[in-house]
Parts: sequence; C-alpha cells; structure tokens
Amino acid sequence: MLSLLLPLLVALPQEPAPADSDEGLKLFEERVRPILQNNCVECHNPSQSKGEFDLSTREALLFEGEFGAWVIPGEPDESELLYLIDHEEKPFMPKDEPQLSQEDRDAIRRWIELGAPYSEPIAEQGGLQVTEEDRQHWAFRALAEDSGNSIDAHLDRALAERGLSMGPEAEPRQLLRRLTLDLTGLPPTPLVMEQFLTAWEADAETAYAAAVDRLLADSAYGERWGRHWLDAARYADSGGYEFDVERPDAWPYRDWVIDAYNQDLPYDLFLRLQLAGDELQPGDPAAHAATGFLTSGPRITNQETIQNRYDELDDIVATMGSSMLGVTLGCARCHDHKFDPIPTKDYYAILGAFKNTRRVKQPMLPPAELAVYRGAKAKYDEEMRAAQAPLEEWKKRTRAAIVERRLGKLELTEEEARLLLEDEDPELPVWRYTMRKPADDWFQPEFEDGDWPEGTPGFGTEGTPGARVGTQWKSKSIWLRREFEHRWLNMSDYGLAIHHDEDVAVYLNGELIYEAEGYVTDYQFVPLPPHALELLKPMERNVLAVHCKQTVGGQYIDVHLVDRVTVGANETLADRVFRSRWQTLREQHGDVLKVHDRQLNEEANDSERAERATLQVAIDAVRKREPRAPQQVLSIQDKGPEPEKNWLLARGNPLDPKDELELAFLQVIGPATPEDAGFPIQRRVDGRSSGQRSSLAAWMTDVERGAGRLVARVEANRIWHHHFGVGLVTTPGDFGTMADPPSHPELLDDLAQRLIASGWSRKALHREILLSKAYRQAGQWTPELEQIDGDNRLWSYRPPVRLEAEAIRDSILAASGSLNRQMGGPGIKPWIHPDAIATGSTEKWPKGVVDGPATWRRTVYVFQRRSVLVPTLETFDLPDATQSCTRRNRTTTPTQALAMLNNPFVREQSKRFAARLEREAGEDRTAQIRLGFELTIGRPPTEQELAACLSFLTDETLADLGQVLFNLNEFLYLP
Amino acid sequence: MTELPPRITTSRREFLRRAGGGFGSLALTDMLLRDGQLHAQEPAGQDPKPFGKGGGVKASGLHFEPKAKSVIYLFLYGGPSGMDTFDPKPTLDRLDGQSPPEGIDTFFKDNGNLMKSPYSFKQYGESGRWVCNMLPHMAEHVDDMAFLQAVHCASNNHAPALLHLNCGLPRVGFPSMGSWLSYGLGCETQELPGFIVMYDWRGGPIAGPQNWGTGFLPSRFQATPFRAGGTPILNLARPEDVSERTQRAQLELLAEINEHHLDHHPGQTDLEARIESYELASRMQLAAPEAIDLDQESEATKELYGLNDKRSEYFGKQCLAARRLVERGVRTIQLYSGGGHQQESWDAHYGLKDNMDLHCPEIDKPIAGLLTDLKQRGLLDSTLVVWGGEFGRMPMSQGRNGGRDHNPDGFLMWMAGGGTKGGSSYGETDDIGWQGVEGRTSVHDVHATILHLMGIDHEKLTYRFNGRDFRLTDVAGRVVSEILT
Repeated sequence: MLSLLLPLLVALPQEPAPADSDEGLKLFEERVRPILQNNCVECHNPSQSKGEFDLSTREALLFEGEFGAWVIPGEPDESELLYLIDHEEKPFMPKDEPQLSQEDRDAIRRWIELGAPYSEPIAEQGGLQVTEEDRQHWAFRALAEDSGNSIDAHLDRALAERGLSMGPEAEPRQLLRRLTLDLTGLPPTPLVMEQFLTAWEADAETAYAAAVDRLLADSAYGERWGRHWLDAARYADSGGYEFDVERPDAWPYRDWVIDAYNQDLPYDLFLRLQLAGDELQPGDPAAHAATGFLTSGPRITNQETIQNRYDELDDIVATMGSSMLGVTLGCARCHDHKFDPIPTKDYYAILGAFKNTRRVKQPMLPPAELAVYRGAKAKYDEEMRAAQAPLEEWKKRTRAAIVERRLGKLELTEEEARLLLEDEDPELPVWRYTMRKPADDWFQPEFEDGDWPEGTPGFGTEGTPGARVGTQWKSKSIWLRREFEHRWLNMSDYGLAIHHDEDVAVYLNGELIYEAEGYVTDYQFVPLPPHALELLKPMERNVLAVHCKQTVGGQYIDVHLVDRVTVGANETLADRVFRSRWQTLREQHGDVLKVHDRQLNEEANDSERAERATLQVAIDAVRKREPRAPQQVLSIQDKGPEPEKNWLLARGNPLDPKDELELAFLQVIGPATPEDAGFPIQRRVDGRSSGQRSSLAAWMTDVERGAGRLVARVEANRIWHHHFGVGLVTTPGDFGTMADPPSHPELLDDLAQRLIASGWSRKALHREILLSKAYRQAGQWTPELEQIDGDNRLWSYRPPVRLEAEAIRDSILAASGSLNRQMGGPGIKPWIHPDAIATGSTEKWPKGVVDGPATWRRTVYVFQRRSVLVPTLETFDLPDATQSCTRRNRTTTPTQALAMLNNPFVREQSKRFAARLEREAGEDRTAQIRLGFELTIGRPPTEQELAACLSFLTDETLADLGQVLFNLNEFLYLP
Repeated sequence: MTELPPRITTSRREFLRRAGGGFGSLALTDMLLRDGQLHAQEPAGQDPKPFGKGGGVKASGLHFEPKAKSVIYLFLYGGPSGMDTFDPKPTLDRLDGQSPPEGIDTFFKDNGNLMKSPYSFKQYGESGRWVCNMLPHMAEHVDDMAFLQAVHCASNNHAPALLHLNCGLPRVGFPSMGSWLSYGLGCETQELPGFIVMYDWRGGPIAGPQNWGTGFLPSRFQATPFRAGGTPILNLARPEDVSERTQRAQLELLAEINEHHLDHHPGQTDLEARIESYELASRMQLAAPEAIDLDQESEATKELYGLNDKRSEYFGKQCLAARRLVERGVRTIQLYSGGGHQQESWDAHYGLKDNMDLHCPEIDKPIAGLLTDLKQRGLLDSTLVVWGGEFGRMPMSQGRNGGRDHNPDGFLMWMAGGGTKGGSSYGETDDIGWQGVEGRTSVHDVHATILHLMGIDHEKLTYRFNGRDFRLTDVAGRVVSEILT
C-alpha cells in the first residue's frame, strides 16, 4: 500500500489556504465524514476498493489510477465523483441505493472546493485485525504463576517504594461493623458486638477469623453479595418500555443467585449455568432458573420487529460482556470496537449462540415431582369436570326456564314467540335454480327440482343497478323455484318485492301471478292480484316459480313475498326484503334470550337456587383438592436443534445483513471457532437444543483454551471492588485497553489464580482478602498521603464508603427491630408516594399500601419495576436495571437528605426505633441513648455526644433523636 | 423567612480553611476547564461534584458562549399533527377521501383514505405562517418561532419514540437531554434541582420516568418531578408530627455529631459534601414552594397564561411556574401536555377533531402567554422554548374513524427564543405531509442544535460508561444552523 501511495503524496496539488482548510475540516467532520462513512466506505476501502476507488484516506481518494483521479481538490467541476453522485454519469453512486440528498451532495461539492481535507482516515467496517500484541494486553494474556505472596506483601512492596507503609489496624468495634455491613449489609447487633469484644480481648486474631467465618456462613451474605451480581445482570421484575409488563416468574432467578452465593457455588459453574443451564442440566429447576440471566433484560412487548429482536440480543451480549468478561462487547455492534480488539464479526459470531433462543416459563420442580404434579392435576381436572357437569346441565335447564318466564311477560303472539326462539331464520329464502331450459312443467308445484342447485337471492352480476347479489347469474336465462310454508295470519296488503331483468314471469302454486317486460333498476312493490291471495295456502307448502331473461347489461332477478306494512320508515324496500321477521324480532327482543351468569343467579327461583347450592357444595369439595401449581421461572430455551442463520449486520442494521457467520468466540482470547478452541458444538441429547450455548459456556470458563483467565481476573477484581469500594481495576465491567490498568497487576493475577485453584470458591477469596492487613486498616488520611497517594491506588488508607440504598434501608429496619428476615419469594411492593406512581401513563404500583412486616423485608426482595423505582432507593443510586451495572454511582444530594428527614418510611421507623429503645433500655435517657448508638453505629456515644443528645431530649422526642442517628454520616458509611 | 439553615459551625469553617476549601469539587472544575470538555468518569468511590455546586456550573457555557441559559421543553405527548396545526397541506384538501399512496406502514396497519384537516387556516405575522383556527393565541407568535418541518425519529411506537426524543436513542437506559444538560452545565441555583419535569394531570407519558431518567449518569442529574402547586417535590414537606423547631433541632444535633466525626476523618470530601447537602436541603425546602407560589403573580399575568379558563388552567399554571423556575436559574424544565393514553394525550387515533378540540385550548393561551411573558421580561433571548411530540401524524384516516395514526417520518417541531431565528423554517414534507423530502432533521440534529444553543459542542459532551464514551447524539447530529440567528 505504502509503495503505491508515496509517489502520489509528492504529486498532491497545492493545499488551499488555511482558513479554507479550517472550514473544510469542519465540513468534513460535521457533514462529509458521516456521508462517506455511511454510504461509500463499505465498498470503497483499502481491502475492497471497488472501481480502484478507496476513500478511507485523503491519499487514497486522490489516487490517480487507470481511469485518472476521481477527485481533484479545489476543482469540483473536474472531479468525476460528483458526476456519479449527481447521477449525471453512470455508474450512479451509491450503487443500488437511493441518491444522496441535494444537501449531502452540496456538502461534498463544497468540501472538494475547499481542498477535500481529512482530519483522520475513515475506518471501514470489518477491517480490524486482532494481533498477538492485542492478546498480550494485561487482561487477556495468560495468568502469571502464583507468586505465593500475600496480599499485604504485594501492597507493602509498592508502598515501601514510595516510602509509605500500611496504616494501623482499625479498632475492633470499627472492624466488626465494617465486616458485618460488608458481608451481610446489616449492622452488627449490640450482643454480637459485645461477644466479639470479649473474644477479641482473649485472642484478637482468632476472634476476627471466627467472625469472618460466621458472617460468610450467614444467609444474609448471599442477600447482599447476590445483589451485587444482580446489578451486573440488570435484573428486574418487569420488562420496561410502555407496558413494563410484570414478570411474576423472574424472582426464582434472583433467589437462585442469592442461594448460589450462600452455597458458594463454584464461580465457573455459576457462569456456565446462567448461559446454558437448560442444556447442561435439563430438567433441573435451579439450572433453568439460572438462565434468567438471559431473560432479565428490558423488552418491547407491543411491537415485534427485527430491530427489537436484535436489541434484545444486544442486551444479552452486552450484559454478558460487561458482567462476565469485563469486555464492552456492545461497542462492536455497529462497527469494530474503537479501542479494544473486538471486530464486529466477533460480536455477531458470539451473538449467534443466542439467536435461536426463546423465552419459556419452566416449572420450578424437578422432573419426578413435576410428573407427580401433572398426574395429580390430570386426576383433579377429571374430578372437576365430573363435578361441574351437573352444574352445566342445571345452567342449561335453568336458562331455558328463565327465557320461558321472560317470554311470558312479552306481548308476543305464540307464533312470534316460536319464531324468536329459532336459532336460524326459518324464512331465509333458498331457491333452487337452473340456467338450462327445464321441462315445460317446471312451474308446477309437483315438478321435481331435486337436481337443481340451491342458491340465495338475488341472482345476477355485481354492478347491476340496485342489485344485491347472493348467487352469480351470468347467462341469458334463469329459472327459479322455491317452496315455503306460509305462516302469516294477516292476509291484507300482500305483494311481491321484485327486481327483475328484461322479461320476468312469476308463478304461485302453478298459476301465473305476475308478468313484465323490460328491466327495472330497483326493488318494486307489486300488489298481489286477488286470485293470487286465494292461491296462497296458509300454514301449508306453497311454491313460487320464476323465469327471467336478459339480453343487455348486467343480470339480476329477485322476488320476495312481503307484507308491505312491515317496511319501516327509514328503510327501502330492498332493505326490507333482506331483513326478515326473525331478524326484526331478534333485534327487538333478542336480549330476552341472553341469560348471563349473574342473571342466572338473580332470576332463578328458590327451588332452582337450592338445587344449585347442592351442586356447588360438591364442586367446592373437589376444588379443595386442587394441587398447587408449581412456581414458574422465566428462562431460556433453544427453539430447536438447528442453529439459526446468523449474519454480520452492516452498521448494526438488521435490514442489511452481510457475511453469514457461524458461532465463534473472541479472537483476542484464542482460537475462535468452537472446534479449534476445543469446545465443539454438540446437540443436546433431547434433540431440542443446538448446544451452542453449552459450547460458549465451556469456552467462557476454561482457563487454558477459553476466557477462564479473563473471567477469573474480572471476578477477583469484583470481589475486591466491593470489599474496598474500588477495585484493583477501577472499572469492574471494562478490562479493555481504555481501562486504567490494575494498580497491582501481579496481585490481581495471584488472586485470579487462587480463585481458580480453590475450585472457583468465592468464599475462599473473601477470606483471603478479609484476613489481610490491608482490609483491616484504620485508614487515616493525612495531607502527606494526599501528596503521594492522592487517589489511593496504593491503598495507603481506607476511606469510608457510602452504603448502598439497600444497606441503608436494611440498616434502618434492623436498628428499629422491624426487619423481617424471611428469604425469597415474589417481590414485595412497599408504600411509595402516589405522585411517584402517577409519573407513568398507567398506574404500575399499588396505591395505599400499608407497610408492615410483609414489606419490612430486605431490600433485595423489593419488586424492581423498571418504570417505577422506589424513589428513596433511586435517590441513593439504585441502578435502573436497563443496562449491566458493575459499579454503582455514589452520589450525595440534598434529595437524599430530604428523604432521610421527611420520608414517611424513615419517620415511621424512627418511632418504632424509639419504642424499641424504651422497651429494651428502660426509662433511663442515658441508657436509651447508649443503646441507640450501639444499634445504629456500633459504639457508645462520647461524653460530648451524650450531653448533646440529652440536651436535645429536653425538648424533643426519642423518635426525633432516633431519626438523627439514621442520618449520621457514621450510620450511612461503611467505616 | 423564619427558618434558617443551620449555621456552619466554627470548627467546620476552620476545617475548610485547613483543607483548602472543598477541593474535591474545585479540582474537577479545573480539570474541565483545562480539557475544554467534560470527559470525566466518576473518580472511583467518590462523588466529586456535590449537587448544584462548584462542579460543572458554568453559566458561560461549556465549550463556547451560549445563546440560551435555560430550556423549556413543551412536550406534546402522544404526537401532535403538523398538517393540522402549523403546516397545512392544500393537496390533502384536494385528495380528501382518496386512497393513500402504496407502502405507508402504520402502527395499527389500518390505513383509511386521505383525510383533509378539519380546521381552517389563516396566515399570520410577517413570516406569513399558516396556522389553524384552534391556536389563535399561539398564532400571534409565529414570528418568534423557528420551525423544523421534517423531523424524523426511529420508531412509530410510543415508548421507543419518546425515549428517542428524550434520551437520544429509542431504547431504555440512556440519560435524558435534561440530565446531559445538568451534567454539562450544572445549575445556576443551589436551592432548586437543575432539571424539573411537570406532567399532565391525567398522568405521565408512556414509559413514565424512563423519559427523564439519568441512565448511567449519576442520579443527581435526573429530573425532579414537580407539582405545579402545594408541595412540589417528594419528601419536601416535614412529616406532620415534626415541627419546624424540631427539625431545626435535629439538623443542629446532626451537624454537631457529623462535625465531630469529620474531625476524625480529615480529607474526606464526601463526608463534608453530605453535611453540606443537609444545608442545601433546608434551603430547598424554602425555595421550592416559593418558586411555584403563583399567588405572587398579578391577575393580569394569570389571565395572560389562561389561568382563568378551566380548560387551560392546569397547563397555564405549569407554564407560569416554568417561567418562575427559569428566573430562579433552573437549567431544564420539561412540561408534558397530555398524559395517560389515546384521547387523554395528543394520540389522535380515534377522532382527530375531538382530540384537537380538547387539547388545543388547553395549550394555546398558556404557551402564547409564556412567550409573551418571557419576551416582556427580557428572558426570551436567554430561554430556549422547544415545542413538539414524539412523532407526528399520518395524512390519512386511521381506518374509518377519522383519526390519524403515528407518523415518525416527517413531523413538525418549533423552537423559540434562545438564539433561534424567529419566523424561520427548515425542512419540508411531501405534499400530503407523510415524509420529509427536504431538510430532513434527525433527532440527533435537534439535540445537537439545542446543546449548541446552550453552549455545548454535542460531540464533546461525553461520559464514559462500560468502556465507551457516550454522547446524547450517539455518533451523529448536525447543528441546524438554518434556524439560528
């Protein structure tokens, strides 16, 4: 490439004046670059320069090839390119795409006029090559062998290099408070504190280690640390967007995460089950629950578009990237990753693992129990059907009786009543017809017309004036016959409603009653001649026969016997003939026939009711035996054994698929195809699953050939991050090239090695960190430290870290004695202000909730509704669960202060807190204050504080004091 | 003014002197000034910018001199019709009742015939803008309005379209424009939030707070929903059983113990900022109700905003409150006209005329009054007023019900004041108002333009999250200079 370009550089025309160049550059940046990027560079780049034209760089743009240069700077009229994009010469550009807008073309013209300056090359898509150097990035390379050095040895060495040393150990009270809040999210109780202090006196080291073990074994540990993972997994109990559909079957995933932490489920398995639990352990409800990781994302539910589907897949890939791999995969959706060695191809290749998945609700029961349930349910359904049959029969019978009683109250003739009860219109005219000339006696009542086809009126072709075609008639002549039972009793004013073609003859019971020449254009009323009335046989079989001819225009014939009186004021004769008496009766009295369940109860008579009550008793008895449906979990499953077709999408556009791709892994980790990496795709035994996700999962945690080394580093850092408030790598979700490198790379690798060596035991890693001196530092900042270690990357001191929203709420509930420690189950919805509910287009939170033990549970169990976050929690930086959050914000705002001072929850708990102090400390003010301090901040008050509090209590209440304690910095911060 | 914030104690003052005075926030400001852009990731584990203080507060704009200091964004939720308000289409009158062109994709996929506007139009102002007879008061201001007539967004579905207009992408999880403005510019008042939203009495818009969320930006940049009366903010009022005296005593005791704690934790700016946050909270408790106390306004002003008409009273109060908030230094105020669903909002699926007959009188006087009032107080030059919905409406009837379905491919917005060129216009839709054909303006362009007027280069206002520098305008956006002075 270079050799080609060099001579050109020499031949470049003179540069335009700098002022123009500034304008040109601005134009390039603002207008031209996006145009070229979006429309041209895909085909005209260094690796694919169609027509020997590449416009990714200025040099290439001006290249004078076989056909000369396409662009001459400063000379738009000489620049061939403009003729092509102006569609003045072929090939029109962009090829096979709509023409660029006039404004876009003007911008390019002006830019060429200004010398066509580039600020930097335009990168084409798919050009990124992953190099060996990329693979040597600190996060991706092989783990260093375990140095054997302790955490403190690593830190001490770096500190010593700067002439620093680690600070002294914290006081035991502070240590236990730190440890307890850190591991469980709850403050230590005064009793536990007292026991710890006693043990500490005897043997500090043993006491501390015992406390670590005890707290790691506490189920509250999983509730706190599981929450950290749920942030990364953007877990929520609803789908977001307009309908924000509740997911009552999401929480089993949340509970699975909490349980996995408490059971110390090996971290590698923890990851694999979340990616492919359904494939790895089919039928295991816990494994199905684990795949909730893949179904927790936000989702549009009122419109199915391919764009929405790809947004869902992107959510999965991006979340997997930042939570597991510490790689910002989402950045490679539309173009090669700007900073990290992640080509777009890698993004779509790995996305393929999820492409043929669908969301399914799986029962949370193991197969054997599920079979038992299903058997019981089938038996129950059978019994229920049997019990309900007599009731159905009763309903049918009683409905009929009620209808009869209602009919009795109407002023209808017996004949009308009978007609009303007919299910179908008995007078619906059906004619027999033929278009071939029949035998001469065709109009006689006895004529055998059984082989004529049947048709409904009228007969003719669509478009004939006034026609309402029921049966097609396109020939020259038609013969019609119809039998009817004449039921009308009123014998006056009868006639024919007739619409006919050129010649028509109508016979009644074998006698001609009407004849006409010429056609008409609408229905007409023709009174029956007197002799016809005599021919009509009431309540007996009558026969109408009609013959009609046509020579010009559209065909049409229709004849009805009508009672003129019944033509309503607002209807035409045509309307009338198509509206039967049955219809009229139904319109007027149809309601009589409808007996809703409610009316069934209201209108049943005493004996009917008594009968029903007996039947209901039997049904209720059966219902009591209904087996409880198992809880379901929203999990993921493949649609079938075949992987779905998968493509690289140009610029992330689902309507612009490019190369077809098979499942592959990140090139920067190692061999990218499943076969080369050693994780070939194997269809699952049950034949329902493609096995792609199992392959991905195996790759994810394999230390040698897969991403295991990376995920171990990410997890070790995550644990460090949550213990210290900041990680060795400050960005737990981004280990890419833009991330700050680890403060202590060897330490990070050692911790990752030890995580793996312990069988991926997170608790083992906790233990190692918690027992270090570094964790136990008192953490005193000094101005000198500010000079040397201002950002504390040497861990020379330990700053207090503000507690998360959950730990604050839980600490308040624990201190006030209100906390209900019940674990698991559906999310709870505590009271929130009606104004916070009204912010959406529909109310998505219950109003008027009264808080009590049912809602005074740990905050991890609060229903996380994407469109209604509990305001107080949100104020304290609860993430909104729309994207993976690996590091929470920790803000300080006056709205937090307002919430802590004025929110009804805090106030109510302050009162309960006061009541508890009075209950447990008696009436002595000093004792109450001491206990209050112990319960909230884990230490007794100083003399000065005690005096201030006593003075406060001369005018204010104990609840007022309790609320002050909830607002203390010391209460709100992890020491 | 009976309640005063707790005094800064002597010991604290001494401390601040010792520590050089709140270095955390100041340090960051310096960094921003040096770089000429906000490019910051939150320093690990610390919160560098206390709410409304130091930090990003830059009245003079972030990247260059701003034209506007505040934005009032009038959001007509549901999607108002351009062709029935400010951009009539005579061709539609002619083609009324005929079949629409092939290939129009609509949300409900129930395309009826082309439908002319039920309203009559008259020309107004020197610019000669045609305005429908339902907006006679707003019509008097057309020479202050700069029209974007061919805006397009990415979705014909409410939630994604709302998110697109508000947060730059048609997906959840990204910061709203108001949050970006607070992040970039801070707030000129310490006593009020920098970004305030007031929603309709019928409820919020579809997707609710996701529209004014803060995404991955720190939560303090999110909007604070305000009520246009009474106690405007959640948790602002004291609990009923806490007297003013008691709360004051609480704050004093709290400050005392916290100061004591701080003495043992020197250099912890976060602890210091939290102590300060209680002082700010106290001031906010006074300032917020005062800011929306409309009793301080004259009868003439109330009349101007349509407060004496039942139909326009609610939105009028919000518009008047918005002006008061601008005067007090609030950066972004977003008002929603329309809440709930369908006819409750501008979402005229079923009966366009019924819908507009209901909603136009609700906003006509209030918006006209706001523009008049801002102008007469000399505030219009420094206040950008933005008008628009999440999309526009289709030229044909939806089925046979006389409504119009969503149209994301060519809809109308206008801006006024704050450096826009009154009476100007950019972009055209086709003769029936279906698609933009000239001067198509993307949502990114709209955002780039608003940021530009606020003194921000939209490409330089970035925030690093999950490894990427995010922008409000993603990877696009052009300042629509055609409508600027």
